[in-house]
Amino acid sequence: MTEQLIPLVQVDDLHKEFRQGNIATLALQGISLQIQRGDFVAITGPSGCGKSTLLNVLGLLDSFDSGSYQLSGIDTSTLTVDQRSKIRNKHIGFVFQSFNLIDSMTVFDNVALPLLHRGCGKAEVAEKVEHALSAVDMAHRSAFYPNQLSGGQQQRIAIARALVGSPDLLLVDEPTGNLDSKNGDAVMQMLQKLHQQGTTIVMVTHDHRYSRCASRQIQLLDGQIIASGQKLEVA
Amino acid sequence: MLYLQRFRFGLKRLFLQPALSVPVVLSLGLTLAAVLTVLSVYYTLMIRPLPQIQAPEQLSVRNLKVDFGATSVNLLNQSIFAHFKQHLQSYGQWGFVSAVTNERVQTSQQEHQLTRLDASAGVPELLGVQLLLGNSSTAADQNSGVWISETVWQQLYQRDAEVIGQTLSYKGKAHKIAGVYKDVLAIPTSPEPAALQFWHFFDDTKQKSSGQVNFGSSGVTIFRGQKQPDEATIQQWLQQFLQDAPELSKLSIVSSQRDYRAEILGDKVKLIWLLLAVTLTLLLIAALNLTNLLLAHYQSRSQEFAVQMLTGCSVFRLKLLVAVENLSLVLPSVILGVLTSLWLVKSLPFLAGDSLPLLHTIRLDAEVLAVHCLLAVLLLVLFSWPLPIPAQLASALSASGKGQTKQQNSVLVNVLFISQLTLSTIIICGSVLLAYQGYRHIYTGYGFELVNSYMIDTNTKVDPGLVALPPEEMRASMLHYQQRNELLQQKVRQRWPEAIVMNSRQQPVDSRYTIRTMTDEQRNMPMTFAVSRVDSQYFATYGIPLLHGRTFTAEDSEQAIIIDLTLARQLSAEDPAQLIGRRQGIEHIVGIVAPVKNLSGLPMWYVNSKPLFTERQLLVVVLPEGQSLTAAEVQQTFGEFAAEYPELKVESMQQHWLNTTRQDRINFYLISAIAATALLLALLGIAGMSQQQSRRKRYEIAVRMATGASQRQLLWFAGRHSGLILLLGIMFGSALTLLIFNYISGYFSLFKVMNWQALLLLEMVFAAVALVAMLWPCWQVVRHDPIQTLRNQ
Ligand SMILES: Nc1ncnc2c1ncn2[C@@H]1O[C@H](COP(=O)(O)OP(=O)(O)O)[C@@H](O)[C@H]1O
Ligand SMILES: [Mg+2]
Repeated sequence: MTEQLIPLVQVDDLHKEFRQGNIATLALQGISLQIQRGDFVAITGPSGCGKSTLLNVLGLLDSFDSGSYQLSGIDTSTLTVDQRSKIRNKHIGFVFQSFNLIDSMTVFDNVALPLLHRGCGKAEVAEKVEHALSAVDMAHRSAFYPNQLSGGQQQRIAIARALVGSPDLLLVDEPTGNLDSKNGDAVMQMLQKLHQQGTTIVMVTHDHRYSRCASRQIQLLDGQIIASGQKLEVA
Repeated sequence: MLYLQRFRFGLKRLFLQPALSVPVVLSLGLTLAAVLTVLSVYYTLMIRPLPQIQAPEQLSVRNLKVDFGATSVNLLNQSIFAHFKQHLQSYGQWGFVSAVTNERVQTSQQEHQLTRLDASAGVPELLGVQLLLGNSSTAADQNSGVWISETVWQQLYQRDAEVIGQTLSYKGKAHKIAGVYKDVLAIPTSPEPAALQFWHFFDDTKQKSSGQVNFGSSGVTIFRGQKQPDEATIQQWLQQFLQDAPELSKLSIVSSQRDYRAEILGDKVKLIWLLLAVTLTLLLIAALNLTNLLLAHYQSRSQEFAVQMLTGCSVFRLKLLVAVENLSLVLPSVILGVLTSLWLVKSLPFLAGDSLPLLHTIRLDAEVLAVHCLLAVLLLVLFSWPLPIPAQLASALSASGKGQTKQQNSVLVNVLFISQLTLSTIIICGSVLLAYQGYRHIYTGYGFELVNSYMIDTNTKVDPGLVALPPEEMRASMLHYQQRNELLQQKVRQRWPEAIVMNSRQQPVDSRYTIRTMTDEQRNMPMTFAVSRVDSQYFATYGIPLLHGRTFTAEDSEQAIIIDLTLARQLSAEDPAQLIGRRQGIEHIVGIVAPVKNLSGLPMWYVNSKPLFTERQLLVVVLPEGQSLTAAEVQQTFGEFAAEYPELKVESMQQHWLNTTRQDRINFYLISAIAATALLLALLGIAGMSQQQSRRKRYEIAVRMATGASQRQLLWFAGRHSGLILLLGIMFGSALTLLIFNYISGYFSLFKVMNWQALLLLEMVFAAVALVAMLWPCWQVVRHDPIQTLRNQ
């Protein structure tokens, strides 16, 4: 039962700086954080405060300079590029503000990517992709190409791709940033539903309407956590 | 599943992105074809077992050459070989064979042109050629019979099982067919035999017992056994032989032995290596270019690769996926390469002419195709391995599009580009210099003019009985032929009134010479020269300048001679003019002319030509430009005599020149093609590189333009990086070219006349052309309103 005791994400005193010539930007300055399975964490803060950087580090897309990050008890600092890929494939789903779909592939192929890299069989891939696409209400668009779809639809495809491999951790970076409010609301509802089904979600947003949906909020300023609190259950 | 998807994507890219796929498939396909063709040649000539030759490791060739400085002549002929063999029999088996091509042969139905192989009995068995029908050549009574090859059997006799005993005639004599051998092409005779061949055997136990010893033939002496006799033994034999032939003892005779295959290849080995190096370099240039092109292509897709990694693709797998994509580029190239090379190998007999032995046996072997596939795999690796893996996935995925100005892999790109340029410079400079030399060799420096002249040769055999006639009869016969000659001349003059008709037995381009050696008594020095029998009008007609003395006159006897300046210098280095009137043996010198280029490479000795006192009549007719004559017309002109000359031949000087320079001209075209290909590849690479660079900077260029930069400033901004790299590459290339040529000129006489100024000039011209190729795409970007780019963003 040790599984239950180990937090999904355990971050201690994380530092990261970007260097461009002589100019150094301290993007993360001593972040410590714990996320349990089933949490829905919202990260907020002004533009440029390091939200995306933190999310990228959590998603193993970026390295950090000092501190430690343990994912399900695994120390991530010593992982090779391929080991990171493998962990991302099995345990992490990622949704970006700019969707990051591959334009030359159909919706189906885009969503199937994590499963294909995992080596799933054809039938299994077809079944899971169908399932993920219906979950985001896009099953009827599986033969389309991304640029034939609206922004909201593309974001839903991106969510389907993040979900299709049943990850332990869903990282969402401003999912509504490029969408109008109607589409944004729809995406948020979807995330809430996922949370209710037990998915652990970390979401970056600067929209307070949406951050309130989360079970926990973390506020960042200049690469530091200035506030962290449980959401008050409003009756 | 994913791989299949990537392959399909690659195929789609092939058609949808012609800017990428056309240069890749074309340049790769064509260079692969060149490599494949040369590899086939290499494999056939150097590695594949020689067809029909058994246990070739026991075969070797003995060369005994009479050295004349500029040329050398075989010592052995059939009768000297008989002497040689008799003395050296204990060492192993000896055989002697020579080839005559285009021998006219009559079967019962038709006339054909075959290769005649004149050999000592037992040569096919010595080589290991399989006997298909009849008796072997070692069986008794070879003298009267002939043995035909399988191809002759097939084409002339439709594989008739009863062919043995049928007759085949040549030179007016009928021979019974005694057997059928398999075709054999791998014989180091010159000329090389064709598959349409027949054997005639001479008795090598019979030596010429008396009279003057002739030497010289085109035959080769083949040995089969463990070890050839050593040089000392050969010299012993030579001493013994020369005792019977004292007139040969003054000659310098060089003896050597050679491996059988090496003898067939001759000095073509170096040529093959050179071709292999050149084609592989061309392939390398193409591959480096394409790698660069693909790197730019990859960069435009970095977001896609980042997404693959995001969703869990390992680095190796990603490269594998890209390799599968690229398979769709490499596969068509490979197919194009194989098809083109099949065609090239087929046209090799035309392309390579007689510059390569065993031409007709060259084909695409499975082994060569395997090497080809290996090359293709290597290319795939080269194209797919440098795939830029985003070090920071996060930034690749957050890219908004404009941030992509910084090139990944820029060191690799620059290194590839510089190596490409270096190699191109070497190949281009080398091949252009060679082509120029070839051009000069073919088209200039003859020392005579190509005029509209024709050699009429009645082609009748020299009457062998003439010398043996009693004096009165001989005189009568001479008179008869002289009159005949004058009559024929008259007839030709009547038919072509504007023609110059000469008694010369040569045109300056002819390859038929008599080589003569004599000792200059005054200085007791041997001289070797080529003898040419010409008419008094010869020098004026062909524009050969007379330097001293006079030309022949009608009164001159055959003892009057004219020599060329080269020979004159040998006789009197200080003052050639004083040689006029001097006696040289029984002859006396009346004039000295400028040297002309001739095939023997020897100095010339012109004899005043009188009509031949034989049936064979030789006339040279020079017609005004625009007129021509044919054998049929001449025959018609001869009227009542026509029937006496059924084999009359007419050869024009132009045609003869075309024939003798054919190989040189083909080489010239080939080298020019290599130069052009290398230049094209280089320019493609340069333009591609420059296009990538300026495309990448397009956004920045637009911003600069919007803020008021002039087009010239923009051009400088767009092109300076590529320009610098270009300069570096060409400088490297130039330096290496000098080094390599310095080294190579020791091995290839072709490179000997290397000229530094010419090389420098060439490099400058190349640099200028390259600069244009580089600036052109920059100019396109600068000129094409870059503000548009901003608006589209
Ligand atoms: N690839 C990068 N190179 C340099 N600086 C960067 C890079 N990515 C982010 N930054 C800097 O790090 C800081 C944090 O960025 P980010 O995490 O994207 O902020 P947020 O997502 O909160 O708006 C910013 O000041 C940004 O300029
Ligand atoms: Mg951000």
